[in-house]
Formats: sequence, C-alpha cells, structure tokens
Amino acid sequence: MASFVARRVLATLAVLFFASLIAFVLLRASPGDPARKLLGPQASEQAVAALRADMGVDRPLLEQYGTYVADLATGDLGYSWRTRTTVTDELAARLPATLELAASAMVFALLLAIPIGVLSAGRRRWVDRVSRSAAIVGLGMPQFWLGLVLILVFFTWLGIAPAPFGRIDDTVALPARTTGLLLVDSLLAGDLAAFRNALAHLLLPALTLAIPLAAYLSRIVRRSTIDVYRNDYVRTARAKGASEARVLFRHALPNALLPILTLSGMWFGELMAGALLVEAVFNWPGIGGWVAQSIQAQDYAPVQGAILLGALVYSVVNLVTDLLYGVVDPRIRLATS
Amino acid sequence: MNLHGSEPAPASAGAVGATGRETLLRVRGLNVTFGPAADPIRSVRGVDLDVRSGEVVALVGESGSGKTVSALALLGLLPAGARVTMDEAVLAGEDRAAMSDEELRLLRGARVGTVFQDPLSSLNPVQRIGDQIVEAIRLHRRVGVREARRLAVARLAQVGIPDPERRCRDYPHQFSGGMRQRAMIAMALASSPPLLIADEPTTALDVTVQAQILDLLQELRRELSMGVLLITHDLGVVGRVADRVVVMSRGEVVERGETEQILSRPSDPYTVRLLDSLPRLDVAKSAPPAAGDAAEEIALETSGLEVVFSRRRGPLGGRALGVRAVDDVSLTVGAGRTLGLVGESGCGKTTLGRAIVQLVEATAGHVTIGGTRLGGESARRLRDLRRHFQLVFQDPRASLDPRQRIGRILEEPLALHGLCGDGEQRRRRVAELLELVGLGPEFATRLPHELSGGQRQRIGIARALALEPSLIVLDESVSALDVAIQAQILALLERLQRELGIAYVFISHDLAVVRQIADTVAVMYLGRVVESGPSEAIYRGPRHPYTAALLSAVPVADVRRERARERIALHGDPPSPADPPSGCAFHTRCWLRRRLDDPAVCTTTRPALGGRADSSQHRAACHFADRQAALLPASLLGATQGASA
Repeated sequence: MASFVARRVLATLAVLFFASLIAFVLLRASPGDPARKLLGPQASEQAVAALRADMGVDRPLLEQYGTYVADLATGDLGYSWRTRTTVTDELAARLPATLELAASAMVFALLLAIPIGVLSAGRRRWVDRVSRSAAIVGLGMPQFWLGLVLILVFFTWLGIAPAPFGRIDDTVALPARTTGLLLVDSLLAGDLAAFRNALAHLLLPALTLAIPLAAYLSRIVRRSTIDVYRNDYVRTARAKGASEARVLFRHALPNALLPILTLSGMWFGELMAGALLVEAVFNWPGIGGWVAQSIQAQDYAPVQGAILLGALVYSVVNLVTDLLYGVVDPRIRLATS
Repeated sequence: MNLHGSEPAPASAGAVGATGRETLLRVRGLNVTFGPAADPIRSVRGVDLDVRSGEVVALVGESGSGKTVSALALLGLLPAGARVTMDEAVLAGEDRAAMSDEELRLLRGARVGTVFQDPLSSLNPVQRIGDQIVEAIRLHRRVGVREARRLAVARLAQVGIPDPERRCRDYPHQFSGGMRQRAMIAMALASSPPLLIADEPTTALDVTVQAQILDLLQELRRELSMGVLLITHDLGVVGRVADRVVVMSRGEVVERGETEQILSRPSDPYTVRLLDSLPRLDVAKSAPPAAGDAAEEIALETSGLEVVFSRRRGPLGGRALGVRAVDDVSLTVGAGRTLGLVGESGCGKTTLGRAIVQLVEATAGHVTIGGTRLGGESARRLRDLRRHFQLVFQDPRASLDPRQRIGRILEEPLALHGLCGDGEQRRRRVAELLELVGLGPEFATRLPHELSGGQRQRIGIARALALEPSLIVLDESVSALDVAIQAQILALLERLQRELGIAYVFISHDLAVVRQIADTVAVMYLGRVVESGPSEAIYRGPRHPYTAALLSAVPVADVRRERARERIALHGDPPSPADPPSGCAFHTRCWLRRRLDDPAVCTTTRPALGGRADSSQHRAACHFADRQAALLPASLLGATQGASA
C-alpha cells in the first residue's frame, strides 16, 4: 500500500515535470511578443526592450527554463505582468471558486445520474426511453448555451435565481475565510443566510456543468445495473428472502457503482476544463476567466501555473479514486497489498 | 475417513405420516412457459414432485430439460416474463399456490434454503462471508448483530470451515472453491430451514471436494432430518446420495422411482439411453491396442518440461514469486495413441497442454513432436510447424468467432498454411472435413450460434483436423457437454484416431471419461506427474495414494456398489502451487502416510517417479508405492474393475 502510493507520487512528479516543459515550450513557440502586447502598439521600441529585459524574455530559452524550474522548486509560480500580482496569490484567491464549482457539479451529476440510471434499468420501459432521449439532448448541448438558457429561464423569466454575477451577493457579508469554499466556510461560521445565498448562486452554473456529465453517467449506471442484476449473487440474495429494496441497495448498487467511481475520477478533469467556459457565462470569479485573459495577453506565468495546476489536480484526483477503489472493492485491495 | 451407511434410508412411498415423515414439498401439475402468449415456449409441463423430511430426492436431466426452471419456479425466482401455474403445491408445509409474492419471499431462506452451482458467482464479491450469513439470519430472526454473528460462526463451523471466527471476516475470493460452497450451504442453513434445494451443488468442484460436499449434505440430512431436492445431471452423484429419483426430459417427468430401481432397471427409454451413454470407471477403452509393440512410432515426447510463471519483484524489493505450473514432466505418446492427463483444477494440466502446443513457453526441458524437437525456432518456422499439432478447447461457444461462418472458420487454417489454393478446392476440403466429423456440407454457411453445443464442438475438432496434424491436445473438450452428446464426441474421436492415426493428449478432470478413451494415463498433482502408466494398470491397481483417492472420490451410478464402497477421504484443498509443501508435495493430504504413522521421509525427500521391476511402464512418485496395495479398500477396486462387461 505504502509502496503503491510512493510509486504514484513519483509518477505524479514526472507528469508535472513534463507538463511544465510542454507549457513552457508551447507558450514561447506561439507568435507575438508579450512585452509589446502589454504596452500596446503605441509604445516605443526602447520601452518594449526595457520591459523585455525586466520580464527576462530576452534571455536564451534554456536559461529562462532554468530560472522557471528553480523558482518552481521553491514554490514560486512566477509573476503576472498583466495584473501585477504573483501567480500564487492569484491562484489562492481564485482556485477555491473553481474547485467549489467543479466539486458541486460532480455531486449534482451523481445525484442525478444514479437514480435515473437505476430507474432506467428497471422494468418500466418508458422510463428508459425518456431518460435515453434526455441523455442525448444533455450530451448534445454546448455548455455555454445551456448556461444561457438556464439564466434566461430561471433568472429572466421566473426570477427565482439570483443574477448571474459572482458567487455571493454584495449585500451579504462574506463568512470568515478558512477553506475559501463559501459553502463550507459559511457552515463553519454558522452563517445560514450566507450559505443559502452562496448555494443559490452556485446552483445554475453547477447544473450547467453537471447536466452533460449526468447524461453520460446515467447511461453507464443503467448498463452496469442491468449487468449486475444478471449475476448469481442477486439470485442468492433473493433466495435468502431479501426484499427487492434490499437486493438493490445492499447487493446490486455497491457492485454496480464500482465503474462509476473510476469514471468520476476521470471526468473531474473534464469538469475543471468545462468550468473555464461556464465561469465566463456566470461571471464566476474562478481561474477560468483569468486564464483566458492571460492567454490573450501572452502572460506566461499564469498560463504555466494553470497548466501545472490542472495536471496536479488530475493526478491527485485519479490517485484518490484508485485508493478509494481499493476501499470499496476488496478484490483490488488484496491484490495490491 | 468417512464411512457411509451401506443401507440407503428406507424411502417408502407411503402417505404422509405413515413413516413419521413430514411432506415438505408436494407439487402437482407444475407448468412454466416463457415467451409470447401466441407462441409460448413450454419449459416445464405438468411436473409432479414430492420431498419428505430426511430424504434426498434427485431431479435429474440434461441441460434444458427444465429441472432448474422447475425449482426456481417453486421458489418464485424466475425472471419476469415467466408464467407459472400449478394445480396444487405445498412448500415447506405451507400452501404455495395461495401465497402472495411477499409471503413467498419471507418463506425463502426461512423455510427453504437454496444452494446454487457456482459458489463464486453466487456470493456477493464485495461483502464479507460472515456479513452475508449474518444477513441471511437477520432477515428472518429478530436477533442483534452480535448474536447473529455468533450464529454465523457456529454455522461455518458446522459445515466444516476451519477457524470460522477468522474466516468469516474473509471475502469470497479468499476462499477456495470447496470452502465457498461450504459457505453457501452455511448461508442456506442460516435459519435452519426444513427443506434444502441444491442446484448442481458439486458440478463446479473437483472430485475430492465434491466427495466432501456430498458427505456434508448426507450428514445434514441425517442429523437435521432435512429434506433435500438435489438437482443434478450426474448419475454418479445420484447413486451416491439420493433416495429417490425423478428423471426429466424436455420439460416433462419421464420416470420416477427409488434410486436403485432407476439406476439398475430403468424402464423409460430416455433413462436407458442416459445410463448407457454414461462413461464408467469400470469400463475400459473399447479397443485396447496390442500391448508391447516395440517398433511403435513416437508422436510426442516431453522431457524435463518445466513452466514457471514468475512475477517480477516489486519496486521496493521483496521476494520474486514464481509458480511452478509444470515441474519436470517427461511423457511419451505413441502415434495413434491417447494419453489421458488427469488431475484437479490448478494441478497444471492445462498449462502442460499449452506448453506442448507451444502456446506457453517452457522455461526448461523440451517437447519433441513427430521427431522434430521444438523450442527456440523463429516465429515464422514455428507457425509452419503448428500444422502438426493442434488444440481443441473446452468451451466450443467461446472458441469460435461468432461472426464467421463455419466454412470460413474451417478454411482459415488452410489459407494460413497456403494449402488448397483455389476456392473450389477449399470448398471441397471444407465439405470433407464436415463429413469427417459427421456433419453435412450445408453447415458451411451457418453461424456458430445456430449450432448446438455438440455440433460446435464437432466444428472445433474439424478445425483442428483441417491441417492433418499428427497430434491433437484436447483440453476438457467434452466437459461442457451432456453425457449423450459427450458419448457421441468420444466415439467420433475414437473413429478419427483409427482412421487417421492421430495421437491425442486428452486433458480431463473426469476419470471415467479418461478411462473410456485413454491408452495411457498420467496423473498430475501440483505441477508434477505423480503416477503414469497403461490405463488398465492404473485403474485396476493405482500405486500412488493420490490416484487411489481420486478414484475413490468418483461416485458411480450403481447404488449397491456405490454405497458399499469404503472411501478414502482427502481432507482440505490442494495447497497453493506458489508455495508447495516440502518433500512429497502430497504429504499434507496423504491418507497413506497417516496409515503408516507419518514417516519422516515424506516431508524431507521428494520421491522420484519410479517403476516396479515387473512393470516398468507403470510408475509412481511415492516412497511407499509398493506398500499401498495392501492398504487399499477392496471395495475401491470393486468399483473400478467391475463385473459388468
């Protein structure tokens, strides 16, 4: 077990190294001059050259990479010339918003997909037909469009959703920051008003992210439930006298949800990527908009930081899923130990 | 040592109460239909069944005869879409016909215990064994978790699981096959039901383990006076444990009666055919070859063959693990002869078969086929050589490409080896091959799923024959087939051998089938050959205690002889091949060693495969091979020699 984790941590470090290399090379290979971008077309050649020297982009590439890696090793992710802040500060401020959004979307997706999938696996055919059509629609819709539709319906027409601006209303006092996740912080502070307000803001963007994933997962849950019900141990449970509810919750579901665990881990990365677009639609103060603007400004450090962060989140989530798999499936647990 | 009462329990057909026995199951006119009402498939038609307490009733039939469907129908466990009707039914003393689904559910487990065929797939893989038994207890009794756990441990102890307190925390995959089936039985017994329905409970198990499970069922029947409905296709098992037999064919009961009468004087032609096609331990190969043919050509020779599967070391050190699947095996098979390779699951017989046909690389030793020594040649050369040795698999459904027509399947080996160039020639060869295995040319255009199991296995054989090999390895190739079909395939194999002079390596766990087809036999245990020699010599006078135990464990379909037999019981399961015992690998389970007061040599020195002066062909790897004969139960030999001709 310990050796398994150790091996995976080493692998993660290797992934991070290659991600840093790719991010570095790709940014520098793209055309354009970051100093010129920053100063605008009116600036003089001298001013641009001075800024280039300041930014360090006039040095040889190898030297630049050396400095970058050396800084990384001390935990310094660099400096954003566009916003004039360190990347670390910026990430600390924005990452919780994106994580909260992606994690809630994952929870919503599972809450939708599991019951829908299980019901579609049942004997009532119409449930399956409806859920299959819904899944096709859910998977087919572009996310930014889905977000706009939700805003139109729930904010503009029905008026039951808050305005799509940010994570919480300005009028509501922010709870003391512990984790940066508003839902968690407000609960820790016992501030129910703030919790409700934050949840209301979160609902639409999280749903926008969750719906395509829920559509996909519900089909997997259906397939997997049908397969599990064909197993002999389901017959054994019935022969013991277990009720259908017990057969489902004690015997079928724990086995049927095993593949969902792996898929959820793999899809968490997709959710982070999808968050970039959805954040733009809902003016969500996460890393999405910030990264998009940094890319346009050819602001190297934030983009490199975001790519590294993405690789890190993806690796960690997959490591956690693999460890969880060992917890829920005893066959795997014993094979690795 | 388990000695069983030679007297079968008297099973008079008297009315309820006349023998002091309670009727546990009484069904009249059971019908089960599937499919659309307009065109129904009638799986079970008008079946009557009775089981009283303290008796074992066997429901016998081939696959598809409706025996399992009948039992599932009574329990209400058939899938939706099945329509069940019955004129009258009493299940565990209650009126089954008038029961609601919910009442029937509460009856299951509480009053009727059920054991299924495959104990691995029948247990929930992600729940501990103990928890699964606790669930079965608490579904029907208001007891706390702690009390239920105590009861579960007691049940596991009752069915013979050693160290039950620790083992009940294990998961199903940590149990061996026999232990899993014991755990299933413990679960079925959780609420002390008066009636037990066991659906092929020993079919997935090795013979020595089967013997243990059958003993256990007998014990339960005797001590708890349970009624048992035993569903099986194996007439040997019937002869061993059943008091009465009900024979089913195509959804109907064709014959019923007391076991002895049915097995010795069957009246229905179907039962007669079933018994006739049964391979018997006491009937040898029909045309034994002339003995001592010195100029015999050798088709296959292995010498010192060894296959070690090794797992690489972990990144942080640790001992390298190796499993000796095949260990120092030297065998010869004469041209046109059959070698029977027998042993329990995990003994390495399949790996040996694959090493012979070069599908697994030997780590030492070599294989010589038709005078050509194999090993170390280039992939291309090996591909050319493959036409001389072919393999037929166990599962004919899984080993044929479902999307290829039979003609294509049979043409493929020809095309690969550049034989029979043009289309016309190839078509003719396919028709020829089909005829060889007893099928018409029209089969060439069919798809595998349109064929029956027996027909598919014929195609598997035809495919192996296509290249006119000198050797075919048959790996459990008749094990999945019903006895009647099995008999046909065996007859086909014998005919092909006579006509084409092919040598067979016939791998099987079924000692009766091997006796019927093999000229010589090799018995394997933990990767090594422990006894080898002419089939007749081995079956008439086994020299290794393991062979004797295997022969003793095979139940025969002859009530008088079966119940008079004194058995050699092997305890426990074969040890792990990854960590074999020291000295003689069999010493941990050896009955002979115990009889001889545990001589030390067995644990220290590995016995070599040696022959006696008078029969150098018949060799056994046992330090005390020559002392065994005196200690063998006479009745064991009675079962294998037999009076029947």
